[in-house]
Amino acid sequence: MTGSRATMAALLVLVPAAGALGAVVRALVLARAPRAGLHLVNVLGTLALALSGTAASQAVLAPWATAAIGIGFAGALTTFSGWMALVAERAVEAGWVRAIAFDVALPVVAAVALTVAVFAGT
Amino acid sequence: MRPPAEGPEAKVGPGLGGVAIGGAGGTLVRVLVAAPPLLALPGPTPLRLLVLNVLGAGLLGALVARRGGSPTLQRWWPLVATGLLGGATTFSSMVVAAGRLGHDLGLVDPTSARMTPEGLALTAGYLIASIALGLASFVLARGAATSDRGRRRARS
Repeated sequence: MTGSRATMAALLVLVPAAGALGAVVRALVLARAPRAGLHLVNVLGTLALALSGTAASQAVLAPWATAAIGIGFAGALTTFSGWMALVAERAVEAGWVRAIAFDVALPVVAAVALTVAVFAGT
Repeated sequence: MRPPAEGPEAKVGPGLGGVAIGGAGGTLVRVLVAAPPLLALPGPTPLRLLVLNVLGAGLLGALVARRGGSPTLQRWWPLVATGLLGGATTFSSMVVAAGRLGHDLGLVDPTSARMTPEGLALTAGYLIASIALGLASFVLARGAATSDRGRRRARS
C-alpha cells in the first residue's frame, strides 16, 4: 500500500517537476537552434528514455527515479506538437519531400536506431 | 514552435518560469492520460499517447494561427505553447512505445528473439499513423483557425 502510494506521489509530483526541467532545457536549446535543436532534444530525449528503461529493468534505478527521468524529464524535453509545427513550416520553405526526408524520417530513424541499440545491448 | 526568446514579447511574458509551470502541467496531463492505472480511460497506453499527441498538435496549430493577431497569446506563449503543449506531447515515448508494441503483443520469433515481420510492420505503422495524423491535425486546425479569424474580421 505504501509502495503504491509512493509511486502515486512520484507520478503526480516528482514526474511533473522533472517535466518542468525538461521543458526549460528544451526552450533554452530551441532559443539557440530552433530546427537542429528540436531534432537534437527529440533524439537525445529518446536515448535518455531508453536508457532509463533498461536501468529500471536491471534494477539499477528505483521506479520513481525511472519515472522522473524517463516520463518526466525526457518526456517533456522531447515534443511532438512543436515537431509537427516545425515540419509544417519546413514544408512551406523547402517542400514536403525534403521536410519528410530530413525533418521526419531522419530524426525518427536516428531515434529508433538508438533505442534498438540500447535495448539490444542489455 | 518558435523559441520564446525571439521578439519583444519575451521580455514582458512569463518567460522560462512560464515554460517550467506549463511543462509541469503538460507532464501531469500526459501522466494522467498515458500512464495506465491513474485514470480509467479506454484503450491501451500507446493508443492514448497517440491521441494526446495528435490533439496537442492540433491545438498548437490553432494557436499558431491566432498568434500573430493576439498580443495576449504572444505573451503567454512560453507557458501555453512551449510549456503546456510541448510538455503534454512527446516524441521519446512515441518511439519507445512503437518499439514495444510488437513485444507486448507477443509478435516475437521464439527461436531468434527477434520481432516478427508483423511486429515490425506494427512499429512502422504506429509511427507513420502518429506522424500523419499529427501533421494533418496541425495543418487542418491551423487552417480552420486562420479562416475563422478571417471570417470574423470580415464580419466586423
